[in-house]
Amino acid sequence: MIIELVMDTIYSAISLLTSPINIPSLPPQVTSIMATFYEYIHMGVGILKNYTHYDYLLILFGVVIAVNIALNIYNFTFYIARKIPFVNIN
Amino acid sequence: MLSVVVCLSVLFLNTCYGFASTPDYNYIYDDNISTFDQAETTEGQFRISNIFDFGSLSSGKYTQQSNQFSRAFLSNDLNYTGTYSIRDNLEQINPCTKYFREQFVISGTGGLKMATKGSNISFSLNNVKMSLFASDSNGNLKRYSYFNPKNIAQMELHVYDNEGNSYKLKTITKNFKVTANTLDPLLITFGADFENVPCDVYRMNIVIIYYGASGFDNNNGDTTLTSTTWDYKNVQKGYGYDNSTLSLNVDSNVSGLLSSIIGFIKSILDGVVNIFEKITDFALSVANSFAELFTKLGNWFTDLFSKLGNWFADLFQKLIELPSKIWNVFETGLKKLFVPTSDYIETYKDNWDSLMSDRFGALYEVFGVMLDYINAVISGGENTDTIIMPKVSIDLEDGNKFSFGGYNIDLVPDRLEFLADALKFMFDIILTLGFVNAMKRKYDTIIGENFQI
Repeated sequence: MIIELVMDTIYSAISLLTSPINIPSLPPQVTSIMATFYEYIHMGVGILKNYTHYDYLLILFGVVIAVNIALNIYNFTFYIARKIPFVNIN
Repeated sequence: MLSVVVCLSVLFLNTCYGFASTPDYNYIYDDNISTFDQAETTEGQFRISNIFDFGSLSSGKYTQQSNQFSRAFLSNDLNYTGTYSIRDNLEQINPCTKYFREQFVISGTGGLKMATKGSNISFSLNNVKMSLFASDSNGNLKRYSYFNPKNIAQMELHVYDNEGNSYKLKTITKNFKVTANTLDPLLITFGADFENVPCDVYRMNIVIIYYGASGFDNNNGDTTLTSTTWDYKNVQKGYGYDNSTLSLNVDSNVSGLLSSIIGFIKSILDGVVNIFEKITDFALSVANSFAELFTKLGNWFTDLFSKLGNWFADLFQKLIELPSKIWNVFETGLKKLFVPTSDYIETYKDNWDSLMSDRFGALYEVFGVMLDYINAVISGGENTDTIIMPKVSIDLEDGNKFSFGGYNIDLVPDRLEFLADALKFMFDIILTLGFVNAMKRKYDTIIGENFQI
């Protein structure tokens, strides 16, 4: 009951705050292109599944993405750290 | 004078002889009841006249004298001619029958003719003895009572039981009405009712001996019955003389009495048997009652212990379950306080989708589309083991279209799936090596260039 009350309060607040915002929806052409692209992705994944064990591929793909994200976070962190003189990181 | 003395002597001797030799016969002529008692003491040899249901031949003729039925009427002619032993029937009479009856049929040209039609004639028998005989436990014959010989209409008969208690018999007075001054026979019934006689009196045999009878006495005072010849007969047996003369018929219902007495004795024996059976049943019922009582007591204690055990078991069970129940109440309260329902979450999510779509429109849709792309990459298409060539069309300058594709190429022929597995395995190796290479380069980027795998 309490959580529901809090969630309703948040919803009401967000709804109230965003009431001036009114961004229009995507035009139908764009939506159609995105749907076609979605079909291509779907089809491409099907082709990959014909040549690879796709679950294994997803694991490797996830790890690569995670490593790249971590590396980017690492670079960004050290980029910030290098800007701090008293940390003395080169 | 001598002849007179001789005649008187003969008469006396005859009379004495009659009393001495055949007392049962001669006594009938006598009104003295005491002499009758003497005759009854002859056990087993007592011969009687007109015992109920035993008159094999009861008929005769007499001449009425002096406005009376002659003594011979009952003594000489209605006697029982056979040898009769009272003992033979001692067990066949039941005083519980409550009554007995005698029936006479009188017909003839004598006295009845003297009575006018419609007049009432009273007929009564006097000088009649009716005795009750019974045997004691030793089989000895005893007389229990007898009628008053003076007038049958007023006589009293008492029955005595083994304890000496007397029970009065109610006598019946019968008045007869002449239906016609003709030769129509007249049925006369007399008898006695047993009054308040219990059925448990000693076994009895009823003997009735007629001493004499009074004559007709009509209401007109006409007593012209003298010197009239009367005939009688036993109607029951069918013997007798000509019906043109007066006939006296004797009937009885003693056979019914005897049968009922047998039933009575049997009922007594059955009663005794029933008593013993009831006693036995009572004892058995008492024993069964005690057994049932102990069984019930045992069951009661067993039930008590069982119920007590169940009560304590339930108590402990409830005590054990009490914390969990308290916790359940508390948990339920906490859940209701802090955990929203699944329906609420679904509704809340839909509300958010609706709100974001309304507010952010295209931005929110792009975000959703990107999520769809990610899902498409993760879930991917289906492994059809075929290559689907997409259909492509190219618009030409002349306005025509050139299209191709839209074909399904079977990648793995039938029974060659192992080639596809080998191909996938080879690509897995290539991907693994490429992945390791990529990781090495990332590692070199972070850790250093000297790292080698």
